[in-house]
Order: sequence, then C-alpha cells, then structure tokens
Amino acid sequence: MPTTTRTNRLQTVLLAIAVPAVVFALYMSLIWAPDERTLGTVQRIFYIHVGSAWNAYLSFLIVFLCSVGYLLRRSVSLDALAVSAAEIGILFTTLTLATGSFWARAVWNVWWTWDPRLTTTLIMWFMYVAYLLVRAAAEGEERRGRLAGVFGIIAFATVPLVHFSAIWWRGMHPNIIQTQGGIRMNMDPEMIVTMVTAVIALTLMNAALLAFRAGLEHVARHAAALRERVRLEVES
Amino acid sequence: MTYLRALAAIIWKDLRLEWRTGEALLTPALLALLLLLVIVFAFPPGVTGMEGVFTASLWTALFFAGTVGLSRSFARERAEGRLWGLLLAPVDRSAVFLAKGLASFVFLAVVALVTMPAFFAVFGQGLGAPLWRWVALAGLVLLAYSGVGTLVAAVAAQLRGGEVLFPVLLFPLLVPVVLAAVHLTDALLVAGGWGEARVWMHMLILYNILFWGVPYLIFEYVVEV
Amino acid sequence: MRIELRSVTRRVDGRRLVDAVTLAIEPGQTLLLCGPNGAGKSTLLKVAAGLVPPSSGEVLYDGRPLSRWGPGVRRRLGVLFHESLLYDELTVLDNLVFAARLWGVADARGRAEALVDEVGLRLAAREPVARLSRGMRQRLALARALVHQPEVLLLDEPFAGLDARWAAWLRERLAAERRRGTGIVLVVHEWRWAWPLADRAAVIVRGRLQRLVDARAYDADRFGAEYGRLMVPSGREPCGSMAAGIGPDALGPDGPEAEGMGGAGAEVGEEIRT
Repeated sequence: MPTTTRTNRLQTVLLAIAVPAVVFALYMSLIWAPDERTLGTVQRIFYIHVGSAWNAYLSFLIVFLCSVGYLLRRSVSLDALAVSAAEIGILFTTLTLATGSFWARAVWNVWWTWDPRLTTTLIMWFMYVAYLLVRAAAEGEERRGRLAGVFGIIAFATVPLVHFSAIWWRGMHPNIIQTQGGIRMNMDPEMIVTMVTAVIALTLMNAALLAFRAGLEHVARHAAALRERVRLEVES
Repeated sequence: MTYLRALAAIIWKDLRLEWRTGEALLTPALLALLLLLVIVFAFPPGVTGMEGVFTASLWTALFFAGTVGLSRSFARERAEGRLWGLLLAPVDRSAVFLAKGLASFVFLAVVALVTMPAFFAVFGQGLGAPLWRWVALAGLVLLAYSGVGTLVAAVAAQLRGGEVLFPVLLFPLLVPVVLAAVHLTDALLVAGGWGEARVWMHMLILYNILFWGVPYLIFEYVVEV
Repeated sequence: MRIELRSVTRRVDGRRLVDAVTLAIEPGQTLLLCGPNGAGKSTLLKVAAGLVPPSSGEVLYDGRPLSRWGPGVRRRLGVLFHESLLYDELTVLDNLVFAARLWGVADARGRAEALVDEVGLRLAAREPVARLSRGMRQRLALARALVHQPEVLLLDEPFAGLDARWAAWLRERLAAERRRGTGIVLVVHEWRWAWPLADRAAVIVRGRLQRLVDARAYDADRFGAEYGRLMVPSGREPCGSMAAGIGPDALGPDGPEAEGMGGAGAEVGEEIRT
C-alpha cells in the first residue's frame, strides 16, 4: 500500500519533533521555571498536569468529530482515528488524574478528594472506557463503527461537564485562569511561558501517538481482511 | 397526526406487554424495595435518620432498579426482527425512540410512585416541602433518566452481552442526573436550601433537552440494520 | 407502485451481500426470487424496503429516489421476513391491532378481527403468540403483512410451515392481490410449485443477479436445469437435486437461520405434492 510509506514518514517526523519538545518542556518545568511562592517545588507538577488535561480534552474532541464524520461518510479511516484518539485520551486522562493525585497528596494531604472537578474527570475516564467496551462488544466492523460513532457522540457530553463543573460549582480545585472581567492569569510570566511550552510539547506527542496508533489500526484491519480472504479461499 | 397515532400505538403495545410480563414494573419495584431493606440493615442503628443517607439511598435504589426495566426495553425488540417492524412503520423513526422513551418514563414513574413512600416511611422522613415540588422533581429526574437510558439501551441491545454491559455504559452518563437528584432532594428537605441548588436544576433541564433532542439527530444511525 | 433497484450493492464488512443488482418490481406482477441460502435474497428485500441503505446504487419508488420520499411511503409496503416480527407475549389479536394502529389503519380493531377470521385464527385470537404452532404463527405473520392493504408485497418464504390447505389459500390470496395491481416478490426455496404464480423469475447467487426470465413464456424444466447449474460452483459435477448447490460456501452470515427455514420450505413442498 502506497499510503503506508507516507504514514510512516509522518510518524517519524512527528516523533522526531515530539521527543525533543517533551524533553525541553520537562527541562523548563522542572529546572528553568521559578519556584512557586507558597507551594514550593511540588507546584512544578502542574505543567504536565495542565498539558495532559488539555490533551485529554483534545483527544475526546477528535473522537467526537471523527464519530460524526464516520456516521455521515462511513470512512474507515475516521473510525480508526476515533478509536486511536479515544485510547490516547484515556491515557492523558489517567496522567491528569495521577499527577493531580500526587499534587493533592503534597498540598491537600490526601491522594483523592471528591471535589467536583476530580469527580467529573473520573466520570469522563469511565465514559471512554465504556466507549472501548462498546467497541469490544460489537460484532462486525460495520456495526462496531456505527455504534461506536453513536457512543462517541453521546460520550462527549461529559467533556464540557468536566470543564464547567469547576465554574458552576465551586470546589477546591484551583482555577488559574480567570475569565471574569477579561481573561487574566494569576501567574508569573515565566510560569505562563513554561505552561504554554508544556501544552505544545504534549500536543505534539499526542499527534505522534495518534499517527502511530492509527497506522497500527490500519495495519491490523488490513491483516484481518487478508485473513478473512484466505479463510474464504480455503473454504471454497 | 399519523405521528401521534404511531406514538400512541407503540406506547399502548409496551403497556400491554408490561401487563403480560411485569418486566419493567414488578421486577424493578421489588428490587427497589429489596435495596431499601439491604440499605437499612447495612447501616448501624441510629444512622438512618440522617438526610444524606436518606437521599443517597432513595436515588441509588431507584436508579439501580430502573436499569432492569430499561435494558429490557430494546432487548425485547431485537428478537424476531420486531425492531424492523417498528422501523417499517410509515412515520419518522424518531417516533420509535420517543415512544420507547415515554413508555419507559411511565414505568419508572409508577415504580417511583410505589417505592418512594416506602423510603419516606422507613427513614421516618417528612416531606418538608409541598407535594407538587416533589412530583416535579421526581418527574424531571426520571424524564432525564428515561431519555439517557433509552438511548443507551438501544445501543446496548445490539452488543454481545448487551444487557450485562448496559449499566456500565449507562452510569457514567447518568452521574450528573444522580448528583442533581441528590442535591435537589436535599434542597427540598432543608428549608430555604434552594439558592445553591438552582445550578442543579439547570443541569437537569439541560440534560433533558440534550438527551431527548440528540436522538432526533442520531437515532436513525442507532437502529440501522 | 413500482420499485426499481439500480445497480444496488450492499457491502458489509468487506463482503458483498448484494452485488450490483438491477431489478424492477412491477405493479400487478409477481416476481419469483430464487437462490441458495445466503445468496443475498433477504438482504435484497430489506434494501428494497428501505430498511438497509445500499452501499452504492439507487432504490427508486415510482421513479423517485427513496431518500426523497417521506416516511409515509412505507405505508405502501407489506413485508414478511424469516423473523415473524410478532410479540410472543401478546395475543394474536393484540399483535394485529398493534400493527394496524402503527400503520394508521382507520378501523384498527375491525380490520384485525376480519384478518383473524381470514387466516383461521379465530379460536386462538386471545392466545399469546408463544402458544401458536409453526403454521399458525406463519399465518399470523402473513396477516400482519397484509393488515394495511399494501401496494407492494415483499414475502420471504411465505409458504414455510403452511399445510396444504393454507398454502392453497395463500396462492389464491396472492393471485387476488396480483389482480388488484399489487406488485409481489416471492422468495421461495421450493420454486417449482410457486412457478404458476410467477410473471418473472430471477436467480441470485452470491449476491449477483444471474438470470431473469419471463416465467409465462419460459419452460419450468429448462429454468430448473439452468438454476441447478448456477447453484453448483464451477468445476464441480452438477447434481440433479435442488439441494445439491447448498454447500458451506453458499452459507452467508444468516446461514443457520436460512438453513432452518429452507428445511421447513422443503417439508411443505413435499406435503403439497402428495
């Protein structure tokens, strides 16, 4: 397949950019950025935390858009992209929850608390695990794509919920970015630069992972189709 | 007009089936009451008077019991190609979703009507607010529940082991409804507690709009053969 | 109403269940559809009924694409599938009343009562469907298909499970429908004794339309010989009997069910011949 070589090149290029970017972002957040005044060095976990959370949202947005696209166009690539993005989204949500938990242990002195944002993030995680369950339990490629498409649309309802939960319903989760009376960030400029770098670096990593995972999905489906053809040949 | 008649026909059919099987009324109602018993026995004596325990028990029991009837709602239509029969009816296919959802709502409402007084009685809980407020609250909660539940049930019915999977698919989506129900119930029980709870009312209404509206756009894809 | 399929293909998971079929269902004519189990006949009916969208090609009702008709056009269709579309827990009468109401029949109860009499289920009218015998179920499923007096009938193995008396009734009923201008598709495994009903006969093998003949002007034995040859994969010795062509390769995704129905059909065929 000619597309395979092109996908391979895209994967290589993305990975070649993403790895140094993540290393650089780690340097900035762990060494270059200044210490936070009250929280001290533990605050540095915040950069990876925000970067992961943003990428979890982004991945689930991709799942949603690919699901809508699949239902309308029935393109196999969109379905492959949707499942890849869902898995990566779960990975980033797990990272968000884990880094958040470490931070909470240091600052709030507990690993977990039933704060609205934490709770809704956990729900989001369950929702997309359920999405993968739907995929696993659907029989036939056609039906799997269609039902996953429907569920990918429904599941996205939980994403804005997570985002707005902290605004609607005051919890103890910090809000760094204030939107009331114009956008304002309660942060040192160097911290903002570091945060933006971390977000960009992890987004690049997200793109690289997506390219690899979607490529793998294509290969897996191609192999399944070949196996089916061989089976039919042998039978007749 | 044709639409309404088809809607009425499907709801009539579901009520009729219910009369013959008791799957969506009797079983959930019994399950809810059993859960009540389990909860009451599980807590150490003296704790049952607490409001938090009352509201949480009430709604978790109702939501869990409801899944039994909801998961059957579409699973039943899968056998003998019955869903095709519905889809071939000369009306827009959203009527099928709407009718199944409304029938489920009726069942859930009856289950709630029968079991909720038992919860109030066992926990020794007074109403604390005018009855119409309770009816409105339960109505909105169960409407949201049946909307989400019907959509997920339609998906689950097409999966291998769908009836087992159904609660796992449903509950993450349902958490906001559960939270809203619990918070609003607490607000009703505590005089003047309504201010904080307004957000939850908005959430509940939003959920109703979302999950009775979205199926209009995607239900065709859910049931496509 | 005339239903036209224009190079309709239905692809599922890379398999072509229906492959570039062009076929018309004419009003007042009966089309006999033959083919081994899993050949795509049932899928073809579902595509024609608008239950399943074609992967490519077009379905036209009276020359207009199906997608441009409103849902109301489905009132003109009556279908009978392998599956009975009946609710086992409901009574015979309730099943028919429900179908009549769903299709917006004016006097639903009256129509249901009349049909109960016509298909000879008066004594069982208040029994739940689960208690009916195979043949009674089939009669009820047929009544259900006819409840709204459709203009086109798509019938998958309508004779399956019927005894000689009711098979004769059905043949008469179908002839009457045809005279009234109803377009009929009959998927019949034991095609020979449905041959007198047919205006045209088609053979479908592995989703492809292999043969379409004018049944009024065609010799049944010649058709049978051709059909037999088509059902045997090339390179194998052709066998005399109809069943010879049903090898494992002819079994589609709905193989086991189709097999069961085919068996029932064959049983009836023998009953009729005796």
